[in-house]
Amino acid sequence: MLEVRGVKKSFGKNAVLKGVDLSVAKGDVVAIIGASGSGKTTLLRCLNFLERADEGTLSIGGDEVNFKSVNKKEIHRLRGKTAMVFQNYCLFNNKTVLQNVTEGLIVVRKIPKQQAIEKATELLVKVGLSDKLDSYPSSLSGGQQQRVGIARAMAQSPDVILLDEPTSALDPELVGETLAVIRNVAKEGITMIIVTHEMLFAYDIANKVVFIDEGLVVEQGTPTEVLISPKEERTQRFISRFNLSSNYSI
Amino acid sequence: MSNQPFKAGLIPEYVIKILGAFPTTLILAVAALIIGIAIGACLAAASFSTKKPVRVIASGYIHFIRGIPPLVLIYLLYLGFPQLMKRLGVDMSAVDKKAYMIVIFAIAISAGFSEMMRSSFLAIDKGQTEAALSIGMTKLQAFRRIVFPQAFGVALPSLGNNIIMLIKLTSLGFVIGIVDLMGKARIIITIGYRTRMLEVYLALAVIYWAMCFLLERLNKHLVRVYTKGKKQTQ
Ligand SMILES: Nc1ncnc2c1ncn2[C@@H]1O[C@H](COP(=O)(O)OP(=O)(O)OP(=O)(O)O)[C@@H](O)[C@H]1O
Ligand SMILES: [Mg+2]
Repeated sequence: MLEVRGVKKSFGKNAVLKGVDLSVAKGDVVAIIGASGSGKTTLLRCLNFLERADEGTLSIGGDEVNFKSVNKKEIHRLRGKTAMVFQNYCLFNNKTVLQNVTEGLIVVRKIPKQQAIEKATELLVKVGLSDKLDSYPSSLSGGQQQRVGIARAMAQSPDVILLDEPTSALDPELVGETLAVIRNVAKEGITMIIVTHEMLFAYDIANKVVFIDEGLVVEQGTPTEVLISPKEERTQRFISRFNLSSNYSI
Repeated sequence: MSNQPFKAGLIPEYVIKILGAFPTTLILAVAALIIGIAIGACLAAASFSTKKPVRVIASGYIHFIRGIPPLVLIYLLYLGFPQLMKRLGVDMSAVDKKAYMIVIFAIAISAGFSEMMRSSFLAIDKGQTEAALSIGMTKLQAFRRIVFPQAFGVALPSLGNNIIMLIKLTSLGFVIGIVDLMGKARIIITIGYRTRMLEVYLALAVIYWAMCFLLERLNKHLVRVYTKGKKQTQ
């Protein structure tokens, strides 16, 4: 359903993505893992065109574009099929919680205001924020802000939700509530690509794990294949830092 | 100068007389403000341009204007510039004095306004634009609905200060014979054979002070209303 082929991206002389291939089926929850600086964020940003990849193709639901020649119109169209959840939330600070979610519905998708409010409220109830509809982001905890971010992404009814380390900026005691919300989203069958350092969470929620190192996909497979018994040496070395197999009882 | 005893009782009367020129000062300030904001916005946009020559021109202009005392700028543009134009065959003697002065004031404040806008936009996290783009907004929508309202909140306190500076700046209009508050005060002094300078200038000072005081209060109020509950955390 989402298919990337040969994505390359350099910042100046620094080649960050060196030809990444990835295919995601409908309903997949893909966890992307890898060391800091390996290019995980850059990959997600390329999928959302916040970063312009130098080479490669992206196809979502059969709609294919080439990064090299993609135009504004195509970017706008493909962006409509993905939604992003940011590491540092990036909620609109001048909008209330409710407005953060209705904004895209009203402005971009031209849904009547009343209908947008109903849909947004429903989503915010789902992420457990029914009592915060009229609060501004600055008065929320990190975990609450990130749940708004997830609701905002879901409101777009995207084909794929891209999440970049959704819990890494959170205090430890707030990680659980946010992961629980993501888990519920996954249960609804919504396709997700999650960059995460939470290996247990990846193991638990993903049906596919992709290990990226130095701008290349080194290994991919089921969580057991990649996280418990990886074949590649580089994956083994990365996984061993988390001591997953010895701590996690299956 | 004769040595008349100071008469505080005359001040209210002078205040009322000087205020006859209030509309002129108001027109100077409001018109210069509008034009100054327009020039400043263009400069700020130019300073974010992807084309280097555009950025260089904008920053050159800003540094040039900021380095010149307002009075020198007025003489340069009002007296010097027409000489240059004359040599080029353009006669500027028919240009309306007040309109010309308004443009000079606008130029004088444009650099400061541009810097104010520039730094306010820079204060807004890039993530705000990215989040807006990621939900499918166009760049223009992201700017209008998300970035601008926040940048405006950031700029509001210094906008107030800049407007107060502009109002004080308009008092220089008298050097080319504009009868604004300052010009009016000088006329009153001349008519009175220069015997009541202290009282007249005190009256004038009170007027400027009151205007600036009211503006400052208004600005504080607006800042409070505008930032209510919207304070940025990141
Ligand atoms: N806008 C940019 N300009 C220049 N270099 C960049 C930019 N964004 C990322 N990079 C570089 O690209 C490389 C990969 O960065 P990226 O953020 O994709 O890594 P990551 O895998 O997400 O790491 P982390 O786990 O720390 O988030 C890094 O070397 C980084 O310095
Ligand atoms: Mg990252």
